[in-house]
Amino acid sequence: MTETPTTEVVTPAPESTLAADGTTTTRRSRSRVMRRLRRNRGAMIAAGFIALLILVAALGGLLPLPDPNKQDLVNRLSGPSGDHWLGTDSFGRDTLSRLVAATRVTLLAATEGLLVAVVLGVPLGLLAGYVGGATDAILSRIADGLLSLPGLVLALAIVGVAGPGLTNAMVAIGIVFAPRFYRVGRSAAQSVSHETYIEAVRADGVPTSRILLRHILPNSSGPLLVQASFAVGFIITAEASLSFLGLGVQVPDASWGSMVREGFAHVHESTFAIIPPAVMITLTVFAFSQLGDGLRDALGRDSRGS
Amino acid sequence: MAMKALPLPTSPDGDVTDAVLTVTDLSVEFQTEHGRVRVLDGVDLQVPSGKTLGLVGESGSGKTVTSLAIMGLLDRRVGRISSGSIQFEGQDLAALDARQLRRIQGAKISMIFQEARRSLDPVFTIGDQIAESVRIHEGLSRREAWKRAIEMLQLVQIPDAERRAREYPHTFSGGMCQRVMLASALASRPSLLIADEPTTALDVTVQAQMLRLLRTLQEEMGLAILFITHDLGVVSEMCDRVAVMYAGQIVEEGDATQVFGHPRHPYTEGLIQSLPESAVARGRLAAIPGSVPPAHAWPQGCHFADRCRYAVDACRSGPIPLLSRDGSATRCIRADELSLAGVR
Amino acid sequence: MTDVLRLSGITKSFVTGRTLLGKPNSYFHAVRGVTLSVARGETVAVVGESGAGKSTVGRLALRLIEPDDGGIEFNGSDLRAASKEDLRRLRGRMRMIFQDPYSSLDPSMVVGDTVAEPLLVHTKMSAAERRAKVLDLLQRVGMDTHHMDRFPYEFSGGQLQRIAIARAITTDPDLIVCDEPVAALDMSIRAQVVNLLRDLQVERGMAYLFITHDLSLVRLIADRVVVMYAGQIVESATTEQLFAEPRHPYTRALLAAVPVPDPNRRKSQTAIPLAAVQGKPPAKGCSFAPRCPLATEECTVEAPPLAEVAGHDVACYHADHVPVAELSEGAPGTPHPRTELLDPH
Repeated sequence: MTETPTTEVVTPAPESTLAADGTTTTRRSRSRVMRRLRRNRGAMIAAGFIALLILVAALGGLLPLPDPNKQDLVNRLSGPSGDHWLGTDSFGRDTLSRLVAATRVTLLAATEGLLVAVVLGVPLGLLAGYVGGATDAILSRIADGLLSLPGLVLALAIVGVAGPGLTNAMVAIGIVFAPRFYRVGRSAAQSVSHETYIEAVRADGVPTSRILLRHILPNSSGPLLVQASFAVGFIITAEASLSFLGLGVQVPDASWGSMVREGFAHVHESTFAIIPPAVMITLTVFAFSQLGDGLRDALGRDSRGS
Repeated sequence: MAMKALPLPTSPDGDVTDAVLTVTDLSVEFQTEHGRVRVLDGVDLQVPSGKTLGLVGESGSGKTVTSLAIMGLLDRRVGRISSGSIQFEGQDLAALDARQLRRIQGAKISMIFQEARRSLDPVFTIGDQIAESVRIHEGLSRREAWKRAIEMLQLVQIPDAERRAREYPHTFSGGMCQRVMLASALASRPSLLIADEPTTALDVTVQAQMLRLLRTLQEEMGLAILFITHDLGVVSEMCDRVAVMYAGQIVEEGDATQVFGHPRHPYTEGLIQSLPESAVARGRLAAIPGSVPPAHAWPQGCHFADRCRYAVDACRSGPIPLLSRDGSATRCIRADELSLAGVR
Repeated sequence: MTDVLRLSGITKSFVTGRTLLGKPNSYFHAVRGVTLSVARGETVAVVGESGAGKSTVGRLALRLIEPDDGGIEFNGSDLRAASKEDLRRLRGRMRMIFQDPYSSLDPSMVVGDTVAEPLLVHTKMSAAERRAKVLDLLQRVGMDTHHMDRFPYEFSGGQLQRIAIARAITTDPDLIVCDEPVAALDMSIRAQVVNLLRDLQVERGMAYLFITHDLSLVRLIADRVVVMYAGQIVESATTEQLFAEPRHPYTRALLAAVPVPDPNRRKSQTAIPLAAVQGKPPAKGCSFAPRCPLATEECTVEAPPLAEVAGHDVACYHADHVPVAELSEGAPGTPHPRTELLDPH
């Protein structure tokens, strides 16, 4: 009714009223997203924490810490002290050193898992979303099938066939996560492919492969980035679970998950050994999900395929 | 920017006609990424009672912001009226609070706009929606309100109104939705109708019918209309007086025949000359160079100076006032020495 | 003159409803048996109101959508028989410009790459050659060279449409389908873009299939005009003929309804009253008959074929014997068979 506007407030979209004139502005839309992200304090703290983790993973070996694999059976399962800030484990190894080493292993493993998931899921998702039809139907049935299995059970089955080991575990986790990327990629590609500019490049005779790579992918990158950020958190959890079960990282290497497992084995002697790796897992998963939330909010107002 | 109020339009025998709505020196500012930006810069408008004032301008000229300011619909988080008054039936709308405004809007001032379908609720019948608004504004009983709704539908010439009142919006075409919105807007017998591009989305044959309907109803009801559009053809079809907006200002105001026949601002001339109807030879049009500057980059002096082929140094030296003469006004200091071309 | 494009009896319907089992059970007949040709260097305007099928004709002409029936000939070769790869290659010779420049350019690609893409796809030019050509084209359409590295959102609508035009002409096409190319632009920008299209045609001799609802623009730029109603051509003639003496009642109503920017020549006095659109067009007979002030018994029995009347192709039984003046309202003896007309008398 004509009366409705009296109760709702009309936003006179200042951006369209003050149309960019193209001669004074030089910012790019990516930097606009970045600016919104920067205003989100939670996301920025999360990003800072993640940056710190990456730094530790890269340069951890240079820190003046004891050898993570050096055993000291006299001082096993000791609490925090001046020599061992975070105490020692059941073999008397320095927990802080092992935590730093495990950061590297964990992040590398997460990257591996993410890469497998992205490489499997994204191209197929984009293809299915863009071409539709039978291709889409078949791929989507497979993805649905994989998604309907409990993730950890599927990963266990794959590791069971391929044998234990960190790389196998991460490939398994990647396969478990691939359908999620497939889905996000597919729906992003689907909405992007209805845009006029896709019709325009089709009308200009641009080959399908190039349309997918140069037009669909960049315009779907927003939701995929958000998904990736969330997925890293889940992948770290999944890695911890597999390593906890002894199917992931193998001794003497450590990941946060395997450290929890070792601590758990001696929980009746000392509970402290579980805490540092568990806290790291929690914080990291939380950081990635915060960053994902922030990215989603920052991209949300930019209609870029999301 | 101090400015005289516009002279009231005069009737042929020189009497001053009364204005339903008088906007004086209205300025609106928006909070943007460029800081506080003035998007309306001292707008003066008068809608004569029972007549139609056409407000013409391109996107970014501020014509829609003007109508939102009059309706009190500016999003207060983004925009605010920084100066000026909006006189309507003895009250300054700019000074009223939201509740007082609501009593006037919809009852005394109604609005129709481009997207008629979006203004209709898909889950209620057409008749119910009109009856509902009548009940709110006039406190009629259910039965009386329904009767009024049917009358309104008949008034806007919807065939078979009694049957169609029981139908849902999706069964109505775009032109029919526009009529329904008009019926609803007129149900409370307002004295001013603000029509913001009401025919822009319609096909040309449907548009012609809608314009004719508006004129008929205006005569019957003595309605004043503020008609906002970018289409010069529609303006000349519809309006008694015309105000041309450019970059947040009224640049010319006057009788429709006067403005089209003998424009007194170079921008008005440019618009008229760029129309296909004005083209001399087949093919080329007389285009205005450049494009409308964004609000944060408006020039110091005349806002149009950078695109104007008549511009001299004096045009850029400072703000140009709206100069009035013989019931028309122009914001061009060279208006008297230039002889600008109108429609042929 | 040779024809760049020839459509013969082209037909397309879209499925609008399906049964529970997914079997289509209702259709929208967007284009029904359209035949038209565009000669080299010519501008043919397709006009009509929304839903008339004019945009669909544009897309069918480039085989962006597959027709149900009928033939498409481009430069003498059968476009419907072309393989996917052949068709893709032919797209270098035929282009399209869209209505909304904000949505027809990839927002994630800088302008230089957008303009260069057809060259990359259709020619063997080196990167340096492409760059030089893009610079040249951007300048030709009135843009600055430093605009190359910017993203679309940094430009105004008029600038974006210039960029879209630059992209369209990169490979010197023979035909450009222009789908309402200035409808989304501001008044003062519209004229600039119309002039640009016109100048480019004079320079390069490409043909335009110009889809628009703006009849005053048609008069200015088109050589020939095709008027569509409900998916069919109701009249086609040269621009001069059509505007001087429109034959089909729909064409007349359309012309009479265009508002003229001159308060002294208001159209509301002369408009032809049309009945409102009542749902779908009838299954048999002339589609326009339910709205037509001239409709008679025979119009509802069989659809009139497109036939030549005084140099026009017109699909109307009454095209040849109704004086134009008699149609406008208020003229004495106006035939008025319909009773549910919307307009007051």
